[in-house]
Amino acid sequence: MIRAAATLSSVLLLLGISGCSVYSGAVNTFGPDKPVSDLAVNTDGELMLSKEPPPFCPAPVADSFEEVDQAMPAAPIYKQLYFIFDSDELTEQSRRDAEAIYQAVLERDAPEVLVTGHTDTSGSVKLNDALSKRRAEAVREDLIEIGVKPDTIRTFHKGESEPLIDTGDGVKELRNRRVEINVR
Amino acid sequence: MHPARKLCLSLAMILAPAFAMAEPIATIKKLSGDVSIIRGADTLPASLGARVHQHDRISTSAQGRIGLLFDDDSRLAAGPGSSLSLSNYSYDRHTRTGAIDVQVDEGTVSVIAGRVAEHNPDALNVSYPAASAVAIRGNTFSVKVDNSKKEGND
Repeated sequence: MIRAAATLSSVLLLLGISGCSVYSGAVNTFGPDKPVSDLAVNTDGELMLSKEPPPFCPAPVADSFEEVDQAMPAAPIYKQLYFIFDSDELTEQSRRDAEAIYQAVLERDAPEVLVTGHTDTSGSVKLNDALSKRRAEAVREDLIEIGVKPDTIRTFHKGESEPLIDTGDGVKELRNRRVEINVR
Repeated sequence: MHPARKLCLSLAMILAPAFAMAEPIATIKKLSGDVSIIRGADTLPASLGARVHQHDRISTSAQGRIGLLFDDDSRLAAGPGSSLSLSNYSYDRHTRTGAIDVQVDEGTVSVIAGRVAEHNPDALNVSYPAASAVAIRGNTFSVKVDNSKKEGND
C-alpha cells in the first residue's frame, strides 16, 4: 500500500518535472503561417522555425481545432514587382518573382488580385501617369494569360505620386518603378 | 464642441445604423458543405467569393465549413455545426484602425487578427458562452462552444 503510493507520487513528480502540464497552457508567439516571435527582435542571424510538432510535450488543445483550421483562408500576399527604366517590362528578378505570385493566385479559392502601377520621378508627370497605367495593365495581361479570370483583377495607377523611396524630382530609382500586387 | 460639428456628429449617429446594415465587410474565401448567411429576415446560401455584411449571422451544417477574409486582412474560420454573428465591424483603411466584434454561440471558430489589431490589440473582441474551450496558438485565437443544452449562456 505504502509502496503503491510511493510509486504513484514519483510518477506524478516526473510528470511535473517534464513540464508538460505547463506547456499546454502557455502562449506560443510563433504563428502557423506568419511567424512573429518576440525572440526574433534580439536575434542577429537567420531564424529557423521548426514546422515539426514540439518534441517534448504534445499540444492537446490543437487537435479539437484541426477541422476549423482547414477553413482558414490563406493570408493575403503583398509584393512589389520592379520594371526596367521607361518600360512596362519586368526586371529579370521580378519576372521570376511574378511567376511565383501568379502560381499562388491560381492555387487559391476565389482569388482577387489588386495591381497598382507606379513610376520613379524621372520624366514628366503626364508621361509617368501613362507609364504607371501601362505597367499595371502589363501585369493584368500576364495574369489573364495564365488563366486568372479578368473580372477578379482590379488595376490602379498612381504615376510618380507615391514613391516607395523619396528621391525628389527627376531621379531614376529602380525601387520606385514598380507595381504593388495584392493577392487576396 | 462647435455647434455645427455637434450637429454633424448627432446626424452621423442617427444615420450610422441605417447605413451599417448593408455594409459588406468580408469575402467568403473557403467553403464546403452547407452554410447559411442570415441577413435580417433573409436566409441566403453562402457561395465562394460572395461578400458578407455587418450584422450577418453565419450558420454551418454538420458538414459545413466557411472561411472569411475581412477587408483589414483579419481572417475567420468556422467549423461544422457552428453559429456565430458578425455583430460589429469597422475599418478605416487610411488610419488602419477599427474594431471587430464576433459573437460565437455554437461550434468552433478560429480568428486571426488583421490590421485593426496592429496598433490596438483590443480591437478584436470575440464573445462566447462562459463554459467554452479557448486556445491561443501563435496568432490564432480559437474557441469551441459546446452549447447543446444552452446552459451557462451569458
